[in-house]
Amino acid sequence: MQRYLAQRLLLFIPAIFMASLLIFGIMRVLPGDVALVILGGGGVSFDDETYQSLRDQLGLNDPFHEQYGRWAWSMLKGEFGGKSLENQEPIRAIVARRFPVTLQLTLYTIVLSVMISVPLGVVAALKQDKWPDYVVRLFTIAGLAIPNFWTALMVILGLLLVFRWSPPVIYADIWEDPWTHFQIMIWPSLVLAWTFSSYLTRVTRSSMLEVLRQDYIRTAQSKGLAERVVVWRHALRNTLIPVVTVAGIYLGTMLGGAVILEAIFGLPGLGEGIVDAALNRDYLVIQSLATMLVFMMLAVNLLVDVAYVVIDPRISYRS
Amino acid sequence: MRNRLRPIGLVLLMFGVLTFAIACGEEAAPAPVKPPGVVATPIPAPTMTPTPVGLQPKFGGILINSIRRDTPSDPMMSGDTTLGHAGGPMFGNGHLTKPCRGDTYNICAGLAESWKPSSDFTQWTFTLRDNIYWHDGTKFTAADAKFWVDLSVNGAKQGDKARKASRFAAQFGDPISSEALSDTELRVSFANPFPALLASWTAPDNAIAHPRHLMQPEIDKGNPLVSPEEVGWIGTGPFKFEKFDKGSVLQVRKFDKYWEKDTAGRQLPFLDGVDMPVIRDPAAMDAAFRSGRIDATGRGAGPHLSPERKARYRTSPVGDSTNFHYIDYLSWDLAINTRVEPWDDIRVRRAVSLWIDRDAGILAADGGHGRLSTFWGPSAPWVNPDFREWPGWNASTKEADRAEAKRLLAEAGYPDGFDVSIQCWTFWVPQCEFLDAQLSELFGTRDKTTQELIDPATWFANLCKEDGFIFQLNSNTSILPQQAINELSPKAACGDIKADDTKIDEYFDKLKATNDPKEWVTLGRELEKYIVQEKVYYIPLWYLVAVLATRDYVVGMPIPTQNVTPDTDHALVWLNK
Repeated sequence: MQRYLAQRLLLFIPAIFMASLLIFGIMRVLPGDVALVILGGGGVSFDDETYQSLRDQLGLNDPFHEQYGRWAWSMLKGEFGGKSLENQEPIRAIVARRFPVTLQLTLYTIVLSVMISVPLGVVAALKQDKWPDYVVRLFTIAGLAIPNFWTALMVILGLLLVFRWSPPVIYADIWEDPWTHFQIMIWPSLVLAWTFSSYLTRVTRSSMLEVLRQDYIRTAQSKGLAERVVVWRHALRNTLIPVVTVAGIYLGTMLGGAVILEAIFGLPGLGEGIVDAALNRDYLVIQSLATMLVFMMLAVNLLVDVAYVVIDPRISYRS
Repeated sequence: MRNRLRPIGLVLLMFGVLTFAIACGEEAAPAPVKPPGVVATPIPAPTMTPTPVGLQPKFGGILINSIRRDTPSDPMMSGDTTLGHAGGPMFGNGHLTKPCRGDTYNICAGLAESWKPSSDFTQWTFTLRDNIYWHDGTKFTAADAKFWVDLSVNGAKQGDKARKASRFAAQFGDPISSEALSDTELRVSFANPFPALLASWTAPDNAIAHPRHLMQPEIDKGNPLVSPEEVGWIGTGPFKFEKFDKGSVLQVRKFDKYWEKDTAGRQLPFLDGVDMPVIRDPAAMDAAFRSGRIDATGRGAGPHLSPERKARYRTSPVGDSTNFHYIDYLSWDLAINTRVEPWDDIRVRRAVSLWIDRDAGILAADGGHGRLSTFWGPSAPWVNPDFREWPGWNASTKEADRAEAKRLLAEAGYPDGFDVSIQCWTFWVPQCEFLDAQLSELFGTRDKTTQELIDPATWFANLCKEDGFIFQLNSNTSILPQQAINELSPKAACGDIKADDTKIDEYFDKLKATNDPKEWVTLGRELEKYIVQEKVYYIPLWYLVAVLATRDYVVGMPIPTQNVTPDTDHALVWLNK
């Protein structure tokens, strides 16, 4: 197992290197650059001399290999690529500020989703084609079909019209002001959890249906075990492998930030930062954040693979 | 089981270490310009939000005024509208001089209380106020002003690192030196006479955010790129920096040693502070306003209210206690590369200008939030007073103008139009749709026009390349005619006019060479007529009107005549609650 882990971790290096090269290349292919955004931000014009001089200042006129080398060295030194080209803020500070917000939103969403989807999926499977199943299907299909930004806007509008209330506009950290933090975070978490739990409920339901038809379940039932024991002890554990896989993928995606919801609910998270950086062509920030996301995705995948071993004793990574 | 859990523990530990590393990381008619001499700041100006009869301004309270994004910090580098909005309270609007409050076309005294040019206009001497302090308590002197001028014009260099000159450098003219004659006297000398200095360099967002005593040591240490944010957002404005939680809120608090008093001798500002929550989504901003979370809406594309959103404000629980303010924000224009066929033919350009129904565009694309104008603001003194009668602008002759447009197009050899792509920002869809429809109507088919929606960075890149665009939806925000040189001069690499013409620059040379506002008006009008009517190098459409909302208890907020960046220092604002 340790050997397997070591191999997987070693594979991170070429994967991250290739990804960083790809991201670097894509950003350079896009038209426009951060100097244009800085100078023209207010819709004002400027002359070419000013523009070139700013490009020099930002190092954008240096050869590509030098630019990449500088950035990569800074990443290796743990400086997360240096400073933002747009506002000179250290990228490490950007990550330190934004990542915890996204991480919290992700955790709340995952916890809520699992709390909702596993019981619902099990109930839907056990009551297949009966009214509880239909209700769950309605809930899940709506959750999958309705875009979450629309749900978010409806939530804000609904709160305003019904309660004449809207969520606080200034983000508060959970340790500083838990009540305000709750008022801000609960809505995006619920909206995201609806989408995610809908997917997860569907997966749980179909996986549970499959497991319930297995011989060992029939055996368990025929030897007189209580339904509760059959379901929760024997069936559910075997249902979890696809659920964990889906949850892992979603966890990785969520860590990249929920871009639109962060904007709507005023959350200073990672997704908002990535979009800002992309629009502003802030190359260093994009490269650093995207590379970090690649790393997180790889790590989550590894975590999921390892979790299989815990869930299913038949799986082993021993060579 | 324990063995199976160990790998999970390892991976979790890895996550933990990463998170810890991050968490421990670094946090990081013409209105004349006032003659040289003492110019009183007009307080209160007639365009401010009205003070209820019989009431005196109240001190105290926090104004909550949203901003649309995290603001950059350096006015020398960034022309972002958000910086003009959020920087105003800390840095003030302007520098030694500034646009008058609520009267954007006039120049008033700022940190300088008077100024005097030499007889040949090669030297300007500014007398600074004696009661100006930086927010850290350090006195502001002529040496600080000299540092700011030098940094603006020359930038800075330390080792292999160089700081570029300010984006306003061209508007400073060509100073050969600046000199602090005493603590309160600054002299700036020029190689050539520069009578129009004040008009050229007075801009609301050209603010002094660069404390010499904090920045010079940083530059000496090898950091010439030092930004105002790095030295703590220290300015001389009415409010000092308190906190900036990026993505969440910028907070400023009253600066007790602010230099300005109102006409009644009361120390400004009235407010205890301003909280500026960052609200990116317009719908979220609307909800926050309507539920009473914010007192005033933000500035810039996005926060500005559309007619539909404004109507919902009216019907909301706070509708009857909402004041709306209207500002001439920017002109919509069509920039054309006249070096490329078929746009090199003036008949084609004129046909398009004649055909477009500007009144319909104001309604269709901006829901009525627009005013007929050219590239100058509709209230600017340098707009030709009869422009509404010009072919293409005059609604009563539209039928004849359109017949003429068809004739010109046929005469130019394009009776059925030609393939054209309109480059627009991704945020400018309604305007782009409208143009597409208008051109299709002119060509008699929808098959020849396409919309190219591009993000701002791509749009700017195309604007700056010689052949980067052929036909582009554009905008113009210049307040004073001298300041339009970077936008309208064909010599400007990132200018809006791509044409081989020297006459436009001759106009700008003449504008630079006079400090007579009457002459500015004459030249501004001639320039407008030359570009728009005679040569049709640039096709103005209409002027977009920005709509802001404030709660009725927000009193004394000056509303600029044009552009949304002046009058954002909030020095005169008070809360009547």
